[in-house]
Amino acid sequence: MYHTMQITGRRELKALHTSDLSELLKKFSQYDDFVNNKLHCSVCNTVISKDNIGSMRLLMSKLIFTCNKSSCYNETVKQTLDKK
Amino acid sequence: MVLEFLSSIPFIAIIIYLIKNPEKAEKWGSILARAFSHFSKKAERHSVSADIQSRLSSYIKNFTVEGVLPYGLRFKWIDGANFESYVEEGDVVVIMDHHNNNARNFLSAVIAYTSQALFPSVRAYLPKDVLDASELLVQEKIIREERPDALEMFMKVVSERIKNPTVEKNKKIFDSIDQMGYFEPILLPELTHAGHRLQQSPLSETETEVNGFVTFLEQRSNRQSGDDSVPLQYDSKSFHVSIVIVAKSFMMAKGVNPYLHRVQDSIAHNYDSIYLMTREDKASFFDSVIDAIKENTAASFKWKKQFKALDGKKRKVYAIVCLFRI
Repeated sequence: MYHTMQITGRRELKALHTSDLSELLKKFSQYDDFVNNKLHCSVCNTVISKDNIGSMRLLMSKLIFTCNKSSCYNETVKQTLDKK
Repeated sequence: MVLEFLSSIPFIAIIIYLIKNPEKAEKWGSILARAFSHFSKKAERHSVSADIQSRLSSYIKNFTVEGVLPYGLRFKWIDGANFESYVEEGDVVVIMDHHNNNARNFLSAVIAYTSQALFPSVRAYLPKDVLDASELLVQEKIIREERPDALEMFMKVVSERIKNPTVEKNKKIFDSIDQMGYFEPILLPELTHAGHRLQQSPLSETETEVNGFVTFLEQRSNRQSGDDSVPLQYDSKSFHVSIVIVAKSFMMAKGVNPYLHRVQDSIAHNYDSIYLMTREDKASFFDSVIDAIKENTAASFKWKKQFKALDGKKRKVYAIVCLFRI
């Protein structure tokens, strides 16, 4: 038997299911921009689509998106931590 | 009465098994939720999150080392109705797809999870390129182990980070350290252990300290079979690490004392992390060495684990590693 560590707690990951995305975008009046390819990754400027959407955050009452590249996710987390 | 009790034994056994193995309970929860996912939004979300949580828990349970990945993962599902209650300005919300696309979901979750949960107590003090390369290799190892179908996708989404020349260089070094079995059992816990010492050093010194230790492990990893000139100990301001390898038959023929003496010598020279390594075919003798150290020294036994590695002739083996701390 090999010793294993106990998991001491859990980190919370806030998540949105893609089936709830349209409703949320409509709520923030950004749905038309999404379907017309006018939303861009806040880090690398790639057009955001349902195939490459990675994460989002709220900034000044607007939803800001990043694509699914890990460098963009890390950058957006870093920006968030810098502000906090 | 007796019959009633006997008939409940399998049920009790299953409950005990699930309590002892929570990742299995999550896995079964995910399978059941998937069956109902077409009828309920809640079941679909649970199907996604329980599958990811069970795979991640399985990796953490079997492979984590002290303080390196100390936390599990819990999902907080957001939608339009609860958005304002749960999401504050600046919170990052990860987008998860339908459970049919769980390889992609797993990838997104692993990237998000490791960016918070890897070295949580020391990540602020580690050089950025070392942190980046460690994070990439841990992500890759989790995916290889738990979701190999997401590996190709992983390589695409991390390609820009790997293209960074410093990260690329460190990633290659870490890959070679990993192949020899030093990455998970030694590098990751030592970076965590040295964290509080690194915290007190200026950034330039931190980089020199960490890079020096990485170079030590790299030299150990790249040494030729039979080359005994590469040191087994590393001593600096932040790292005091001694490695004892239990491998050579002629030495083992002398019993546990040569290994015990090496550990006692390491303690006398103020090494505070002492790693013992062997291959699985020497497991029984290795246990005798561990018992002798427990009985005859003040070193504190921390853990013993099995890791995949390559031997000196680059053959795949299982290495057993054990850590004593002073």
